[in-house]
Amino acid sequence: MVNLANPTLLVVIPLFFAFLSIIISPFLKKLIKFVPLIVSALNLVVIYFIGVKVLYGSIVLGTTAGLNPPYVIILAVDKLNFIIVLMVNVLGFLISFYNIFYMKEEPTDKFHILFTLLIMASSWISITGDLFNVFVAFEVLSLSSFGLVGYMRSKDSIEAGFKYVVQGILAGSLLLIGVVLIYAQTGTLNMAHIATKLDYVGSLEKLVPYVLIFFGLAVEGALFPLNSWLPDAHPAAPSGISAMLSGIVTTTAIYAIIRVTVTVFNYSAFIPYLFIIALLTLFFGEIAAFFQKDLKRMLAYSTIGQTGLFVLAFSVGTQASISASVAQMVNHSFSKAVLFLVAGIMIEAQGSRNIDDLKGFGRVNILTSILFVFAALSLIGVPPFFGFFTKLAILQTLLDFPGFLGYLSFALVLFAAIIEGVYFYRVFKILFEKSDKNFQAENPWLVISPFILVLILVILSSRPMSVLNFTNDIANQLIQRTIYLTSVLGGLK
Amino acid sequence: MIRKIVYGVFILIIIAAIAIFMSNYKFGVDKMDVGKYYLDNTVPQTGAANVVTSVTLFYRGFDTLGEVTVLFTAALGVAVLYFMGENKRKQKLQESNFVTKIGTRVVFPFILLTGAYIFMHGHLTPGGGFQGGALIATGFLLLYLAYEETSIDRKKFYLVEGLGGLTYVIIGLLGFFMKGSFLANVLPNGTLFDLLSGGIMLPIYIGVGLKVGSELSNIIDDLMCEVKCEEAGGEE
Amino acid sequence: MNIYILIFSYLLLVLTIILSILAIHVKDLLAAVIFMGGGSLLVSLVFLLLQAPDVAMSEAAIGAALTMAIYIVAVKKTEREDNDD
Repeated sequence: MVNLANPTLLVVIPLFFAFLSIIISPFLKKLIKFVPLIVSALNLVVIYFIGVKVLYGSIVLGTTAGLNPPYVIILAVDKLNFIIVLMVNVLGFLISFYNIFYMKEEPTDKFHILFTLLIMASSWISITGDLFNVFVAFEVLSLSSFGLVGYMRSKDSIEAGFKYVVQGILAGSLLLIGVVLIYAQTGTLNMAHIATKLDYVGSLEKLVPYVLIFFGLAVEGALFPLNSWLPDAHPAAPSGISAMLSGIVTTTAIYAIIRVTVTVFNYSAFIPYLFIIALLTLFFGEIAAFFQKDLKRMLAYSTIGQTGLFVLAFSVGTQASISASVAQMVNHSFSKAVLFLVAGIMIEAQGSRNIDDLKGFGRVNILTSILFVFAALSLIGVPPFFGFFTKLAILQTLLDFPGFLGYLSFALVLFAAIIEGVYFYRVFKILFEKSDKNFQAENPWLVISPFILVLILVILSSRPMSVLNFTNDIANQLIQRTIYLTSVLGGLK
Repeated sequence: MIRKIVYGVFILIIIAAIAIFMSNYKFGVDKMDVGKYYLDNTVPQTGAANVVTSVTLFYRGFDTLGEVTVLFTAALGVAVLYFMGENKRKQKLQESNFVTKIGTRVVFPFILLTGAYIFMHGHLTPGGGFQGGALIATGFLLLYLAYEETSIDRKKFYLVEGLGGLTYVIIGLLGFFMKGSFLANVLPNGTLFDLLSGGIMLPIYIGVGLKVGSELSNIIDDLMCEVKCEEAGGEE
Repeated sequence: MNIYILIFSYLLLVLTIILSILAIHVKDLLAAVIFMGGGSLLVSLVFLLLQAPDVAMSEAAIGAALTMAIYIVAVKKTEREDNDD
């Protein structure tokens, strides 16, 4: 009997379909648009089988080449991996459904194959247990998103794509050099094996590879000094891609930073710096978002701010803070995906990305606008919504950070929430203002995906405590790193 | 000028810092326990004479699948960014001289043959799918440079590309279904130094070689056509 | 390793650095591309001397041939501009 609870399938299924669809694309071009949908659905089935085991506390392993780690590549799924990969595939499924009706620009077949590869690469990063795998998967991730950002081939999307390529390639080479230095230190590439060996390495020798790997990942993760590609790339990309970049790519990059920092390097020495970087990211992201007139650019800056927020929570370093950070990650991914998808519908209806041109949109297309409002409220953290509970948890943990910085960050997070509230309120007001402008009616097919996502958010809001309990479990499993190390290195005999 | 000096000093400081941090590193001495395992076990476990190939294709085969995908993604990205729909036009470049034409005609088959040789002997001699594939693509590049009317049939090249990738995935899946682990060795190892040895490496490298060759040729086709079309617009 | 091979590979590396500097400083883009390709070729030779023939082969085929071709295509699409001071 074949065991379906094998993480390797999450990478292999998308690849199989991607290679298959390049063969059939010249003949059956119409069918290609369903490929990402099928792929993420199949992946969700596999994730279900994995999840059954993971939720009982075991770590599901998938080896390759039939030998034991550390000699071969291993994929490992613990609770943190599970929630990230689940998010990737749920969002991938819904966004690819949206893309079927949204993408009209040729060559659509190549668009959908690239999208499949994007889903595959994000899933791969979020389940791998091998450091070099992280680099390879990041290459696939960044190459596919380069193609997708520049997909419209207009002047600004080519320019945004070019910026993204240059920064992404530089980031990739930093990551590679970091991995090479790690290999020179320890002679192995398996994360768990590296971790056991790095415990005996001086912190000065750890510093250079850590910094290189961190900056390599931070470019995709949109952390402060390295995120200048993001505000250009998100508006220029098709809306489904903006949702994917914002909800998934950033999240997986931050996941990789968390995994490398906690499990591999056992961080404590690097925390204050991470905290300051996150604080700056949060502050500048939200301030910049406040001044934008372009809807998607505003959302892009808001993504930077939110990323800063959950990295800030993570970098406090306690179990409660990691738990709050993961919860906020979930909240951000879902609500920001809704916002971008809805922004896509709005832009299609009125032909411009300017916020002021949206006057009266909410009076014509009520459902779309209400979805926008719901997601934005959850993102800001208004009481009945899920975002409120995650932000509350973050604020509680921030006071644990020693010294003046803890209080400062507490004040800044509150301040950022207020700014977020103000700029989203401005959009709400314009949406529902009276105007005699005629808008196209919303395409009902396009509304389905954001609607389901909002439904997920509402379900999360109805039982926030059980979600926070689950993220607490995640943080607990993450902090007890010996469990991960022993089960990866000794689990398969 | 001052700015240049400041940048130079800044870069020197960074290099010096990295050099100081790395002065304790010992590259490749004693610590290579995983590498030593590969050296000791390659022949009994995989039957390949070339240890590098056994590492890239067997022990770390999953990474190589990823690298294959990197190239696949890059080719797709180029095709997307250079997409011109139906209004692709062929046009004369400056005509290449007689020597290039005849030379290409003589050399082209040999380049293909060498490429095929390299990827088929990946498990025995240096080289493999990527190197052989790149060599094949240089052959097509030469063809493009010598004869302006060159144009490859993209449908067939996509077919080869997809089949090459599928070979890799399907062989991996065979291992998964038969031995419960992706890319497990399902074929006999054979005798060392035989062409038919090394288990799954030979079919995988043939797939990779064909895939890389057709992918890179596709990229060249995209780029070359763009140049031709541009100049057509300029002259007419 | 043989001391002569070591000296030779250091020489090649120095040459590579010189070629890279030339590639940055030369005005003609086509010449810059050719300097870069020459640098790649020398590096692939160094790989061969350091007993990494697999890497040497990929470097020779990709670094020296294909990358150069792609750069030349890109250079051809730019317009040549000669304003010497």
